[in-house]
Amino acid sequence: MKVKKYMNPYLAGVLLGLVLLMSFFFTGRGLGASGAVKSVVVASVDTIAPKHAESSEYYSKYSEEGESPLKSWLVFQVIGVMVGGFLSGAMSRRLTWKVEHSPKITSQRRLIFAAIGGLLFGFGSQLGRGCTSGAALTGMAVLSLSGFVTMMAIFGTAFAFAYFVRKNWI
Amino acid sequence: MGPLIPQEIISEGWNFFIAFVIGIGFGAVLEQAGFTSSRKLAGVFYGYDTVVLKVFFTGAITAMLGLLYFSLFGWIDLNLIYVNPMFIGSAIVGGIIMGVGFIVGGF
Repeated sequence: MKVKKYMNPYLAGVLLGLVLLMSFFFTGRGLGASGAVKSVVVASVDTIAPKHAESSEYYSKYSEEGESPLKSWLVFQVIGVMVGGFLSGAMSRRLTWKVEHSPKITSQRRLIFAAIGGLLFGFGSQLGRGCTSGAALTGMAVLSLSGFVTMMAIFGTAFAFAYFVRKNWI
Repeated sequence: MGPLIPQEIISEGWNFFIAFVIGIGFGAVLEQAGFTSSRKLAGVFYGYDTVVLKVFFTGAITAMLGLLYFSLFGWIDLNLIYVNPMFIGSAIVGGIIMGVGFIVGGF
C-alpha cells in the first residue's frame, strides 16, 4: 500500500489550534512537552537520590506533597501524544525505522548532533519556562508576552545558527 | 461555562484521562502535518520546507481567535486560563539556547 501524503499544512494548523482550544476549554491549560520530561527527571532523581532531591531547591518544589511527580497532567498528555502519533503514522503507513539526515553526513553524526540538540533544548526549556509547545505555541494563543519572546528567540536563533550546521541538513 | 475542570463542571478525576485524549489529538495532528520528520522541521531554516511556520502559526492564531470568541460568547472564563508568567531575561536566554538546540538536534 502506498504511503499517504502529509496533510495540507493550513488544515493541520487549524486542527492543531482546535486541539489547543479544547485543551483550554476542558482543563484551563494548554499543551506542552518539556514539563513531562521534567517530571520524569524529577521522579528519577527522587528514586535514585532522595536526599539530594529533598535538599535541592529545584527538585524539592516538584516532589514535596508525597505524590509521585509522574502523576501530572503533562505526563498523561505526552503519553497521549506518543499514542496519537503512532496511530496516525500507522494509519498513513508511515511507520518505519530510519535516521533522517543529509546524504552528506553519516547517521552516527546525526545522532550525536541530535543528543547535543536535545541537551540544549532540555536546559533551555527550563530557563524559558517551556518548550516550543508549552511556551511558544500555548503562550502565543493566550497572548502571553513570554510566549512571543520565547518564540522569537527560538526561531531567530535557529535561523541565525542554521548556516553553521547546514551540512547536517542540506 | 468553561474551563470545565477548574470550575468542577467535570470532576477532577477526569483530568488525566482528558489529558491523554487531548495528547492523542495533538500527536496525531503533528504526525499528519509531517512534524515527525526532522529534515522537514529543519527545512524551514534553509527555506526548502515551510511546513513548520504554516502549521505553527495557523495553530496559534486559530486557538487565539477561538479563545477570544469563546470568551465573547461567555463559554470560557479567561481569568481561569493559565498564562505563562513573564521573566524576560530567562525567556530570551532559554529561547536562544533552545534555538541552537532546535537547529542542531532537528526537533
